[in-house]
Amino acid sequence: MAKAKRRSPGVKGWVIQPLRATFRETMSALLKPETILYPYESKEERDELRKYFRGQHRIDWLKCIGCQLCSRVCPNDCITMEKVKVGEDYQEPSRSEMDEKKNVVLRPGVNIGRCLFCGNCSEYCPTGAWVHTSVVELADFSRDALVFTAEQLKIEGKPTKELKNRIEENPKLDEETCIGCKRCARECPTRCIVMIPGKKMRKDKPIENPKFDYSICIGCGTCAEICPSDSLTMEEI
Amino acid sequence: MTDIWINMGPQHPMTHGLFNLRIRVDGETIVDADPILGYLHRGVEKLCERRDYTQIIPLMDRLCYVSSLTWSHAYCLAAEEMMGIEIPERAKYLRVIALELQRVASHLMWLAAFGPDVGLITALLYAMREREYFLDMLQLMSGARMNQNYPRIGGVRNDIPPEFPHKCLKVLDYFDGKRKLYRRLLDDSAIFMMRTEGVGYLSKEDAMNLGVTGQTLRGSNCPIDLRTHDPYEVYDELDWEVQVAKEGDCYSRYTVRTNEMWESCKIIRGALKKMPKGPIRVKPPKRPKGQAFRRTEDSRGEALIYIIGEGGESPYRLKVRSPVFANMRAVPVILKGHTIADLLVIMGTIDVCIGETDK
Amino acid sequence: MIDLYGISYGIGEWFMGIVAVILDFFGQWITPFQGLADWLMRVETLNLLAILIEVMIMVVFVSIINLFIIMWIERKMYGRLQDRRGIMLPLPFRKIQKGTGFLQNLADGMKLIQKENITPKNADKWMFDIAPAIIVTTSVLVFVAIPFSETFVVAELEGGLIFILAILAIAPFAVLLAGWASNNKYTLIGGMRGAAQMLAYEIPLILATVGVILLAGSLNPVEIVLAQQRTIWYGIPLILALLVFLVAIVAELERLPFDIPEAEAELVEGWLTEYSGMRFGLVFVAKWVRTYAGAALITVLFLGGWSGPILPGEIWFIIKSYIVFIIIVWTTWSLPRTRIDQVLNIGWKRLIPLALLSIVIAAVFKWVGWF
Repeated sequence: MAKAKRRSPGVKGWVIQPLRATFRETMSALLKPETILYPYESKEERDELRKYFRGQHRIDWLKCIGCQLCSRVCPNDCITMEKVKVGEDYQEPSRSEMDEKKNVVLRPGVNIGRCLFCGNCSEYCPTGAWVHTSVVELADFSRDALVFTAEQLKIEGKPTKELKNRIEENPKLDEETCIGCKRCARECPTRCIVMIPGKKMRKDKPIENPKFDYSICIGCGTCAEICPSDSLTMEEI
Repeated sequence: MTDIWINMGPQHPMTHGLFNLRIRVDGETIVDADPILGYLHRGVEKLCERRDYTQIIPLMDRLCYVSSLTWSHAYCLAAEEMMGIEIPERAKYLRVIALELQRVASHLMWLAAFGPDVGLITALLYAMREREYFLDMLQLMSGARMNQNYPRIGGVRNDIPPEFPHKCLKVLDYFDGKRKLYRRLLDDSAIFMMRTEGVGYLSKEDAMNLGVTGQTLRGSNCPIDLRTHDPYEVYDELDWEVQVAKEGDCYSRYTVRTNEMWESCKIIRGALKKMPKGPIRVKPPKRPKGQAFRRTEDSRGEALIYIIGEGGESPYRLKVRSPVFANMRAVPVILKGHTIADLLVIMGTIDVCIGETDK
Repeated sequence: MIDLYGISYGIGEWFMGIVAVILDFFGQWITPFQGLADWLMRVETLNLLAILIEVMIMVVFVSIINLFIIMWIERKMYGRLQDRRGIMLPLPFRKIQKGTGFLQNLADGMKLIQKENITPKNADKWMFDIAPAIIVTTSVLVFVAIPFSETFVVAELEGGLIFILAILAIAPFAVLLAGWASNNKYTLIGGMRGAAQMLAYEIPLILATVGVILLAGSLNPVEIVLAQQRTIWYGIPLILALLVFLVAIVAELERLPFDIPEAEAELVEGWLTEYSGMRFGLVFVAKWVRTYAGAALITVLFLGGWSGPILPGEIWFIIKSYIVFIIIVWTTWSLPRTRIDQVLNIGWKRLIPLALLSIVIAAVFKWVGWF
């Protein structure tokens, strides 16, 4: 065994040095201990840090366009989309044609019991509707209380027109198989699809094919998902 | 000699996690040891096969909650190598800062666990107190205290807030001021030296043969640190030194770990000074093909991630090489001939984290 | 100075007076009662009663009032030492959350009483039950001979010091008993360690007192203190013996640098592992009582007992013993745990020679004629 040649702590090390170390801490702790009485007290510095914390979610309903991207990127499948009935005069129309006809909006609700607060939802939100508040005291007595519905998460901020394609994919059309059913145009949350007459003919009429406005497409993939003939595929930009 | 097998675990104060260390004792001397792992197996590697590349990052965080950032970072590095993308310079610096903050936090957690191992509960509370400040800094950086989900394939999640450098330097200064306290409390304490010096000797040859990595290897006079030997990010541009100790006993492993904390502080200072401005993220390909492996210096040793992509949204296979799993192989070798009381110190200096060991 | 015997005798006389009057009253019709009343008022009976009351006062003081204070001091102090707030349970009738925590120990005790007393299946039941009782009784019994002041003492024994050391030495037997009877590997190792350690530290403990006995020329604790009042506190000339005694008593009490018999990280809770409920509570409390006994013993032997200006002697004694107790607590929470072989090495190789040296020093002082 290698015999170590180290600085020996000496006689002082038996008791005196450790006692000196703890004595200082004791003296500083006598008046002001480091711990705080959590629910009753708070430290200013810690509160300041909290504003960057990824706590409970809130959804700005005026920004949200119901694109379902959040539920798609969520690693734990804790986000469910709910159709909520709203009045006709709902301020920002940013919802699909279909929803506007039925006077509903598609808004996410979160099951906190499954959420791991990774922040992917807010990261991939194309409009910045997802907000993380600094609320962390979310414990409750029942599992049902942990499921937050869309109404419970609602806040109303400022509507924006800004759309960012964070998923970085765009739909591509295969004109051969398109049947011109217009479902994609009706369901597109940003209304970037207009139907224009295509090359193929049916009963002497040209079949209407979707045309994408890629400047406002967010790559959410709703169109590709609902396409009955699978003629839309998502491709990377 | 009668055989007495003692179960140190799965529910035992010695085990920092959930594993069983069966030891055969003759009186108080350990004759044989047999670590039994697998109580915490969650099938992380299989879970990765049905998640897409972004969703794996939070999962990798949970391999080891004490040092989560290093794991998600290792995964991101491997994925980047597979996809063949180069990340922006600022993102590299941000990653280094986050990694080193995490490393200090992890080492402080180790110190906190090591304190009660040698019977000094006071060290636990002091170390946890300091760790809190480093977690604060990580929170300021990424928005979460423990499982940060901060690195991304192709960069980092978000930029640091403008007040971060100032606050971070304040924390580092505070931590430097506490250096004296730890020296007096542990290094200068004769009883602490009695407990650690000459205990748990692992020779350089044994360490290399057993595949031991990290601080356990560096404590045995083997200066291998992947941050310099296989440099990633910007470690080779920063000014710091690999910490080595010559003797190979528990005290050298202890000194390697503690010195690494101060060295990490030095790295953070350097990185904060040198950090350029610019973008923090590039776009990764969605459905990559190829395979890559990447090893990084985790807080406990050499973390390796091997990843195969076959053009799908999720990887075909992902393999995690846990440093502690390999270090555990050395435990029966080190333990032989020591007493039960030494077992704690030896296991303490190996710094067991069962989350990453059992995967 | 409080005359413990006088007070007890007074209480007994007053109480028996009332009883005797009542008995006399009934004696008009039932004649034997008169004889009983006469017997009760005899000096011998009153003496016996006074001794019983003395013991009761001492037990109440040591195991309730004093115990709560020292438990509070320790828990609060090491809380602050570790940069925490320590115990802070508020008083029941107060609404605020920042209490002093004085009643926390009471609450803990109440909790322990409610817990089930589990006896392991294969344990030796009788031995398992008797071990905590032995520890607690011997711990309290020490205070029979410790004088809080010249008159505040239950029994002024001529060989009081021998009695105290003998009583303190019974505990390792109970520790071994508990460790063996629990039928558990951890407790067995803990018990063996406990026995080995306590036996090793008995010797320096006793040897360290020899110097004091030499200087004082008496085994009676009261005499020792009086001798210190005449000359000087023996802690000053016999500083070596004081240090040896302090280390030995800390080891004897299984406190932290030497708490290997119940090293919680390696042996779960050592020989206490299988104990639960109030049995555990009793042993745990006995540890504090023994610690205070150690502090009181140091005060008597080395720090001049109750001698001090202005304040009454009992207060001085308590102040001194609490200071010693605080020093013990302070070292407890700033030193790591030693290993069993190192503990024995310290005991046999360092402390015994030092203790012998202190005897030589004391002998030299005596020979020169300074004491």
